Amino acid sequence: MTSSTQTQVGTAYNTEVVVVNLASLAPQPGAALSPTSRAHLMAAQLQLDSHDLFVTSRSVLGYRAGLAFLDVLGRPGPVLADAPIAIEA
Amino acid sequence: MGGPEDDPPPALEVTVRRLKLDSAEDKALCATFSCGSEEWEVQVSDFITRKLWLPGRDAEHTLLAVEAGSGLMFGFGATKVTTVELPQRPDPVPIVRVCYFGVASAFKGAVDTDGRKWASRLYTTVEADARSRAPSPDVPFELFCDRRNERGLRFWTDTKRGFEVIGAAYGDLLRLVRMPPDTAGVAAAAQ
Repeated sequence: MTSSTQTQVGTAYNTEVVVVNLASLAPQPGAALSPTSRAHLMAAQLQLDSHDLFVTSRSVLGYRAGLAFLDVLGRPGPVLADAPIAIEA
Repeated sequence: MGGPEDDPPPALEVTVRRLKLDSAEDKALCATFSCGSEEWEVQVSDFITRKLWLPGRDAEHTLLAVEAGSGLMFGFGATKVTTVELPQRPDPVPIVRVCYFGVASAFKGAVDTDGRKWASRLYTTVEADARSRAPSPDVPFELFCDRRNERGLRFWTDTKRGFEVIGAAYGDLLRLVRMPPDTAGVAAAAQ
């Protein structure tokens, strides 16, 4: 099972965002680092803050990993299936 | 092969705002909406053009989407938080019901500049907004879809939406639900 971090840079809300391969955060039996530790490491490597991230996975595994990742970033929130449209005031 | 039907649809720009029941502009915009002539499409159009505006109703929370270039109504999504019985749960549970969701006939299949379907993005927006008003971000979602509406059923059961048909409702309507993933493992995974 790979633990590599794959990222893709795109745009949403006219800002640059990073799409993270959450599979690399999924629980891995025997892995040296816990999902939370890997999430911390990934966030630091990517220099992410909470406004950079959209979680795009719908799978249960991705959902759990996504929640853990959002928790690390201090942004508890939903898993989104697609880029939302900004709601005008 | 070839021909106009093979050309990719032109990229559009769509904006979203909250519908206001006291807005004459919103009411006039909604009055123009039509998502098709099939029976289930007429019901969706009837909701946003007429039923929503009937006095004394406990109105659904509704987001309006507008195609920026033309100013025409692109689509809408209406939701409400309610409590229902689900076969998966022993007791009644709060859920978000997607009461109505529709895209105007003229804009079906429309994409943004990145080739993403605006309908999919609109639903994600509607869902995220509804979830923010729910008692918990992990509430189940529920909707009803006519069994003859093959396009609609494909949309809702696509992995992006993840709804599952759990049975017949009434008439030709099927009941679809998306349960939240079992998040019990989140805390354990985060240890």
